[in-house]
Amino acid sequence: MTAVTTIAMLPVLTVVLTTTLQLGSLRVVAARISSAADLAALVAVNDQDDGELARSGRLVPAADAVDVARSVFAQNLEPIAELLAATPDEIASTASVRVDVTPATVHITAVVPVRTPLFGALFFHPISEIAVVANGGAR
Amino acid sequence: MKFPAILMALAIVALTARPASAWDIDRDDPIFDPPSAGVPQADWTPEPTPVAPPEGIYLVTDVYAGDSVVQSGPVTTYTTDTVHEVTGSYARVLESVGTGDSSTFDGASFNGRASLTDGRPVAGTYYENFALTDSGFVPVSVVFFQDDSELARTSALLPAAPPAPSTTQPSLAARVPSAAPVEHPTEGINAPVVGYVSPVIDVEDRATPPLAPAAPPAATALPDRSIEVLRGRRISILFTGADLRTWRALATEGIALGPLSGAAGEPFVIRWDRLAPPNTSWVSRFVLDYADGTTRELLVHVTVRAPGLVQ
Repeated sequence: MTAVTTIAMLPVLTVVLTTTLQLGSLRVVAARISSAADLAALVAVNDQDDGELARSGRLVPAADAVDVARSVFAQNLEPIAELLAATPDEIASTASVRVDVTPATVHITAVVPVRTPLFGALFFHPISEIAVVANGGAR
Repeated sequence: MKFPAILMALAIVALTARPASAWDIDRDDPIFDPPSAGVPQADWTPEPTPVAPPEGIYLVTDVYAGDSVVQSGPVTTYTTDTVHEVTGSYARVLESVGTGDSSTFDGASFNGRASLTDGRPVAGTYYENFALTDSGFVPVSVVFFQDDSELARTSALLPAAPPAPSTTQPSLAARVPSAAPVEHPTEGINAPVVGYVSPVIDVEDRATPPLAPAAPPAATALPDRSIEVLRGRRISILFTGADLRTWRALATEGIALGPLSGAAGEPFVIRWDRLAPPNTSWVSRFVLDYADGTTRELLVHVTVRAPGLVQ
């Protein structure tokens, strides 16, 4: 009786265990992606337009803040590139980066495709997308 | 089967039970060790009851070992060396003093109180040492534990700046027609770290008569202005104007990274590391000398902002 129960429940246990592991891995990757976006927003806002500072004394993000945000975002994704379904440069280039002048704020919104091979084997869903939003401002 | 096992376990516990020999450290009546066999009963006296120190007095576990002045690059750090040792002495905090603050205990400590390069006494804490005697805690000495640091300062830069070269003003006027301090990026400026301007008013400035008995014409006087800067970012403030000759920093919360005075057109390189309290801004004071011989004070209100994550 015990053996029969084990054999009958083994597929269910396998599915549950696999899903748990994949979800845990996905959460870790999502946290790293979020950190990458946060750091990119902070770096992008941590520069000042010197021309505007000389003219009006106001704090305005530098003109290349968008490029800086994309570049740093891509660099921060490099360590987990093998877990992603697209290259860091592709992800950074498709990310939405918006710079507000007053107050100086940099917004990053991105959808990052992540490889989920276990989900692919179980649910035919080999790639999951993680949406990330990061806002950095000088306050 | 289970019942005999439980009975056997209970029997083992009951047979091996012994009274515990414990000592209650919180018990009020002290326990004195009896005299040993070799000591006559008449010569033996019990150990005195431990005396609880009064409030504020604590047992010293780190003993003063000397003052230490460490210079690392432009930063000079004033610290106090200690040795972890329990000598049985006690101490209490008398007063914590800041940089330049005077104290009623100045001169009372056996190790003295050092001064910064600009003459202001260093920050630190005064402690009073006590020895435990039969009559109680007796003060024996006062010691000063210094804890301060400063950036290297070139005092030669502090006096009034030399007159501006006569050839400087026309070029500046042509380059920057604005009659206002202008901030420029500092990527190309490699000014050495040479100064720190205290946010307090220097005695020399306080002793001088009013700087501007007659204000210069409005057309030439630089107006006060406000700027926003990022915390820790190195910027240059450039004072320009057709009639401006020299400038001098009086007081600022920022850390000067260049000369504290100069001719018109020479930048004042500075950075701000601290944020002002909410809804306030730092005020930097400068003295500007004009070509017509007048002197006027200029205020620059600085709002320091720090990057952070926002919603």
